[in-house]
Formats: sequence, structure tokens, C-alpha cells
Amino acid sequence: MTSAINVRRIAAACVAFVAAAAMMLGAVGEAQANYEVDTSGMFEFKLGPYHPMVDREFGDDGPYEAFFGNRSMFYGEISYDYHLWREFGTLSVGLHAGYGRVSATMVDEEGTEVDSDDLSALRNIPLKTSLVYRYDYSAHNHNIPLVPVVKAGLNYNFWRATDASGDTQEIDGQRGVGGTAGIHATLGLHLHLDFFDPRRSASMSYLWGVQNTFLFAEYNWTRTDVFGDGINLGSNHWAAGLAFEF
Amino acid sequence: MNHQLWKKSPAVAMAAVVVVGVSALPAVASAGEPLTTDFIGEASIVSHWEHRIDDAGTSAYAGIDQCDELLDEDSVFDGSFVASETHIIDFNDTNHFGGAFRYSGERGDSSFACLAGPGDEVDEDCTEISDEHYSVNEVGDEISFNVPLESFLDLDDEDCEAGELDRSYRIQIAVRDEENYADDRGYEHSELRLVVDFIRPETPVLNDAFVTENTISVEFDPSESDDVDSHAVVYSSEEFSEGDSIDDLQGPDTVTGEESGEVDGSFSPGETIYVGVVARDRAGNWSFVSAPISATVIETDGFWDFYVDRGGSEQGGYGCAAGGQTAPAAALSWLVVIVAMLGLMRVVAPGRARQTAEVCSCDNEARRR
Repeated sequence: MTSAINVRRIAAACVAFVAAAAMMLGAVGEAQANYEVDTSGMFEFKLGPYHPMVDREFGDDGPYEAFFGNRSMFYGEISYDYHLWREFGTLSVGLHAGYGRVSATMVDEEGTEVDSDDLSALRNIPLKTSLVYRYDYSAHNHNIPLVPVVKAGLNYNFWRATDASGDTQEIDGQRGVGGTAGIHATLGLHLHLDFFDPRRSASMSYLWGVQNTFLFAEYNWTRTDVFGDGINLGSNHWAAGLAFEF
Repeated sequence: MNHQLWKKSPAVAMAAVVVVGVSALPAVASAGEPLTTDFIGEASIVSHWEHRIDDAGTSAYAGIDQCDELLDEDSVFDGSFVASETHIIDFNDTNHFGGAFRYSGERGDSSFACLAGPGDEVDEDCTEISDEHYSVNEVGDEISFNVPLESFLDLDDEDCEAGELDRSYRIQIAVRDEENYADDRGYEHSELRLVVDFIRPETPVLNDAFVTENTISVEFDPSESDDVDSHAVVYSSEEFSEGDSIDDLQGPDTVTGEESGEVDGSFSPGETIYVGVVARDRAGNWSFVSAPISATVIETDGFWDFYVDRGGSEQGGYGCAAGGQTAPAAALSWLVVIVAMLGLMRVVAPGRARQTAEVCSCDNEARRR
């Protein structure tokens, strides 16, 4: 429950942040920044909590909550999108790589945490391919610095459960390492930062070839139980990050 | 060798500290640490053998394990002094350079000035280093030393076996500031130090030990010796006794805490492990082993234990899922290949994407008009 509350708080913070930034539009009404469309791709990185749905196959007494409690993974992801088509918005294909980890102190036979730094961890390393649509037509043509983004695609989540020495756990011949396929979808809102600081935008373009810079928040929906049974690393989570279009 | 054989007992050197050192010591000197002066930008020891050198690079430590090397007639103590950039010193000029000396004393109290000021006699506990064992570079702002340990330390096999020697040996140079050398201003000194320590640190006391499948946790009273550098855990599945050598035990594995700590291991649940602690001094000497404590290895469970115990469907492995379907995985692989090819095309023909984008841009402009 606490985790759900945390996720909601983070989500609310992200939305509030983007909304506040959008409200600044009035204050910077004189700002005029060109939304560059002479671009070929986009690089993103984002961070956020990731609470996998491991317990979904167990009902009330799931192993994730029993061991990790309400902790979420600390999750980060980088991605590269290659623009395929640009007319009424931009259609791209993207590759993403993420990393999330959560750990807790190991317990003895009575289930009590041992008095040492023995940590057992679960790592989640998803690789994704997505089709990405950005509605940037209004950003370019109507000078509106907000770009809604939709992504959907396939993912393959590598995972690993480790003991205190960092080795893969093995119980009765079952090794705690593997991968599972799934699907994902994302809904995001990108704030075009160049709108607020055209001079720095020009500098970024000249020095680094970065044509557009965005601050964004997004909601991610991931499922890994659609192709069969297995550890469920699906999640509904929020994330925020920066994106650079070049 | 054409210089006088140097040898002083620690007691005599102590006396010299009181008589000579009081008025001549620069303010920067602290008890036992090598003297330093702003005139010397860098003083460093060259390591030829297994002694340890401190972070400042001006003190080397040799312990019991280095005894053979210390006694070897070919062993030398190397080092150099380089004048600082703000104080150009010509070591060939006797107005700037008052001499290079060596001396020894009890560790901790032995800093003093071999040559206090112009016209003063060299302190009797110091020996001037002959020209054959130091050289000045052509520019005259660096002195390098190469002193044979045989004459520098004057040790023998008995010193090694007795395990009672704890002494520092120093090489010192005396320099004066270029602007003030004509007056009566005294010399300032810079030193390199070799600490020879054949005394083991006091044995720490182990109070508690706790062993899991992956970790040994200990609580202990640290060694009471002044020069302890670290503590470590030793262990064995065989019983051992206080005072035993660490050679037949597992470890030593250093702990970071001053009175407690943990080390990694791999143990079977229910196994009995005998655990002890040892201290190590800056010269690398290990203390004898503390009285051991026996501990039964506690079985611990991690996340994967919880998952398997609850009957989770995951079996591990890299299939698409436990069900073993492969079509989605294949589709995913093809998608990855396609995207990779698109990226490659962009690298091979970077102008093409730009042209495409320019067309789009023009189209948009036209649409706006």
C-alpha cells in the first residue's frame, strides 16, 4: 500500500511539474523558439520507481512483498529513437535499455533479518523495441511547447536474483536468472525547453547538434505475463527524464 | 666505502634529540614524522623491495617479512629531494646546501637537525653521506640517494629473530633560502624515513562472531598497539588456539570497522567455523591470533528462496517465458536487427536523413504559406 502511495505521489509530482512549467508559458509569452524539424533521432534518459508485479501469480502471500516489503526498484532507462516519418507528427522506431535493482537483508529460518549486511537482490534489465509517435506538429507550427508522446512495443526482461556475495541464487537446481518477453506501452508529455531559452537552444544546436531539448514525464505500462508463465516483471510506473533530439 | 661507519644506539640518539633538536627544529615538525620544508617541493622514496610507503611518500615501513631483504648486502634505500618551484636551490652551492646526513633513533622521537646553522658542527649522532651515495642532477635542483642498507641499518640475524627492534632511520638534507643564505639564518631540513619494525602488534580480543552462508561478522576489542593499521578476520573449519600463527588459517580478511566488521566467505549451513581476529601494523606485521570463537553457520534465505518456496512458476533460463514459447522472442530479435540496420544506414549515409528532414521542413513551410 505504501508503495502505491509513493507511486501516486511521484506521479502527482511529475504531473504538477509539467503543468507548472506549462503555466509558465504566459510569463514567457515573448519567447519565440523554433521547433527544429531537421532532425533524425532522439536520445532519452529517464529515472523512476519500478515495482514489478512478481506477486500477481501468488495472491496474498507473494514473495516480493514478503521479502522486499514495499520497496520499489530504482530504475533508469536510456533509449534511442530513429525517425522514420515526419508529417503530422513524427513516427520513430526506438531501442531502449533499462536497469532496476531492489535489495533487502537476508533472513534466517525464523524469517528474521540476520544481523549482518547480507543482502539479496533482484535485478531487472529490460531491452525494448518500440514504435514511437510524437505529436510535434503544434510545437513546430503553433509554437506550443508541449509534445504528447505514445510508445508501444515488445520487451525482453533479463532478470537475476542474487545472494549476499552477489552470486546467482540456486535452489534445488533452479537458478535465479533468466529472461522473459513482454509488451509495453507508454504515454508521455514532453516539455520543449528551447521555448524558454532560445539563446541556449541555439548554443546547444551549434555546439552539440542538439536541435530540441525536452523535459518529460511519462506513464509506463509493462506486461511480461502475456506470452506464458514465469516471473512477472510487469509494472505500471511513472518516470521522468530528459530527451535530446538531433 | 670511504665514509665512516655509521652506528648509534637508540639511547644515544634519544639524547641527541634533547640536546640538538630543541632550538633547531622547524615549526612544521611533529614528533616522529619526517621533517619538511617549503624549500623542498617533493621528497620521495623509490621502492625496490616489499616495504610499504605511506601516502606522503616520505616514510617507508619494513617488517618481519622483509628481514631477509633488509639483511641482503645488495639492498639499498633510494630516494630523492626536489627543490620547490618557488625556491630555486642549487645543491652544488655550499651557500645553499649544508649537507646530506643520515641518523636513527627510537621511532616517534627521532627528528632533529643534523646541521643547525652556518658554522655549526654536524651533530655527532648524524653521519654525513659520502658523495658516492648521492648525486645532484645537472640543473642542481634535485638530489638522489642510493644508500646501502648494510651500512645504513647495521642489522644482523639476531635482530630479526629477537623481534624487539622498532626504530626509524632517516636521510636528511639541510638547505637555506637563496635570499637569506648570506646571513646567520639556520638551515631548514627535509627527511626521508625508513621505519624498521620487528615487533608484532598486541593481539586484539574477539568478543563475538556470527557466521552466515556468505558472511562472517565480528565484534572485537582492537589491539592496544599505537601503530596498528588494520584488523582482520581469520577462520578455519578446524579448531585452533590463541597465539597460533595465521599461516594455517583462512584469511586474513581485513575489516573496515574499528571494533566490528564483516568479511565475505562461503559456508555450509550447520557447519562449525572457528573465528579469530588479528591486528596488522604499518610495517605489515601481523599480531598473533586472538582466542577463537566457534560459530555455527546460520542458513539464510534470499528473494529466490521465497519465490521457489511459494511455488513460483519461473524455472529460470532465457526462454521467452517458462512456457517456452519462442515466436515473440524471434519477433523481438528481428525488430532489434531492423532497428540496428536502420542505425547502420544512418552511419553509412549520414546526409540522407538530413535531406529527408529538409524536405519535410520545406513541405511544412509550404503548408504554412
